[in-house]
Amino acid sequence: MLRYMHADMRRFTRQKSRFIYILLILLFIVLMTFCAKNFKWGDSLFNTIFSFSLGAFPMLVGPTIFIALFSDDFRYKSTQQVIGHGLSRTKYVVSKFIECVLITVFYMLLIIGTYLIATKIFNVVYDQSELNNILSGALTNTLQTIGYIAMAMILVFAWQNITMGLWIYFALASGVVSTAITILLTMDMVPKFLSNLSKYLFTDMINAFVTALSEGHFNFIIIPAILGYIILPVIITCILFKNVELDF
Amino acid sequence: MDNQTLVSLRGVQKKFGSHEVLTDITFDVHKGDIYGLIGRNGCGKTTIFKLLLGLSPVNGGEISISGSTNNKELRHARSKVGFSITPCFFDYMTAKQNLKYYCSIKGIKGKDEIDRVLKIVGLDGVKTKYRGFSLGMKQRLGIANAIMGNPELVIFDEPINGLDPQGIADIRNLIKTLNEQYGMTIIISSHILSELEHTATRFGIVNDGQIVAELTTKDLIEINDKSNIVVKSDKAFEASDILKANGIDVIEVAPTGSLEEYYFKLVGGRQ
Repeated sequence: MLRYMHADMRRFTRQKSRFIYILLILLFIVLMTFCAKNFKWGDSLFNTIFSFSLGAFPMLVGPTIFIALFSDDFRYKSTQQVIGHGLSRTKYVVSKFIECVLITVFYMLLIIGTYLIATKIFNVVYDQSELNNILSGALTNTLQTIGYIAMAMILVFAWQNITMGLWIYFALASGVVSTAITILLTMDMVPKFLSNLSKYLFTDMINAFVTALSEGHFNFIIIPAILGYIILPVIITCILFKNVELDF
Repeated sequence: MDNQTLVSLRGVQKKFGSHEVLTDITFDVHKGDIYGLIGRNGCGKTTIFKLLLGLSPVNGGEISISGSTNNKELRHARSKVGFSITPCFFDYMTAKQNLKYYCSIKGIKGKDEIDRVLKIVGLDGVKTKYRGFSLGMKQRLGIANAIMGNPELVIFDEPINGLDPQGIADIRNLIKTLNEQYGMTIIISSHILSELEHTATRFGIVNDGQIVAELTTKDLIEINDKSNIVVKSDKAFEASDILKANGIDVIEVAPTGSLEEYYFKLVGGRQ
């Protein structure tokens, strides 16, 4: 399993287009920091804009991670090669999920690192609360991206269809699914006790956890629920993938 | 299963929905065999390979590789099997980079192994990315990937599909070399009977989801005609008369040499 992850991560680094894309995002952050200082936007306004912009991470960066992780495997049949060489299907799915976590965290660290370095270079000042906002935004969006990829993985593996998975990912990351569920739960015909369920939605739970964290509280109760949202899809994927026909 | 048996399938069944593709597949492959699976297109040859490799769930029966008796052992045994089924590699990588990827997955160390297998299949020195490969080159890379790390057992599914005569002859020689020089046991499938006849040492004929017959090259000669001989002579008609005069039936006097032989004589290359 470790051997596979190592080889797959190395393959990931061979695709220059992926790095060009993330490099453009990083350059954009540097450019924005430069503009913030030189066109007198005001440091505070820039920090707020950056903090909000992190919300675009699941939509802008998530799909590239998703495609990098899964599309090549289907296109070039490497899944068949790997499983044919004896890696168990469960280990294969778990490896893919761990790779997803590592790449998502790595990309987010690159973005936050670039922000911190650029603000130092261009002398953009931020206070502790602004930094807290940015870090909690980073944590929220990293967790959301990982969760959405894990949920979309179910379709990718069960139907061997990357497009279907990508559509579901977009629906989740754009907030369409959570908005639809929230609207549904707050409708008049829905019983009162069900409307309370909206606070148990994935995004709401992450927000509650991160907000508590930024206020200095560590919400132990909510962690298993968030992990459940992330781990459960991986378990479902493993179960469904066990009996899937892998064609050449 | 004796210690000479490398692969054993017993009553293996496979269904796709209600359609039963394999009803009762039973055969053994012994160490040192080149086992040819024969059958028309769609008879289930590739499905047998997929079942062997764990790419398709089995609906019934037992599969054993290298004496494995349970799933864990079977998975471990699979890690020592090389295979090439419709070669497919990352098209943005070269042959070497692709093999490096699979080398790391298989836990095979050393750049030398990649160079060695590329030399065996005649792709050493090729710097083109996979997307620029011809069909023959793709098949060769598939074989190179399959034989990396000197596996005891190698599976080739239709390895000559779409190849030109030179390519077919090269792959045929390569398979024989792998078997004779490197001691690899090979399972190979083809719907081109004349080709398998040249390559395999044992045959399994698949029909209606079953292995309907198993035979060796020797059996094949015996079954076809025990008294059949071929006489090659510049004076074929005179030879024919002599045979007839001695009470031996002469069925045909025909020019020797196949179209394949003529082709190689004309354009050069190895047969």
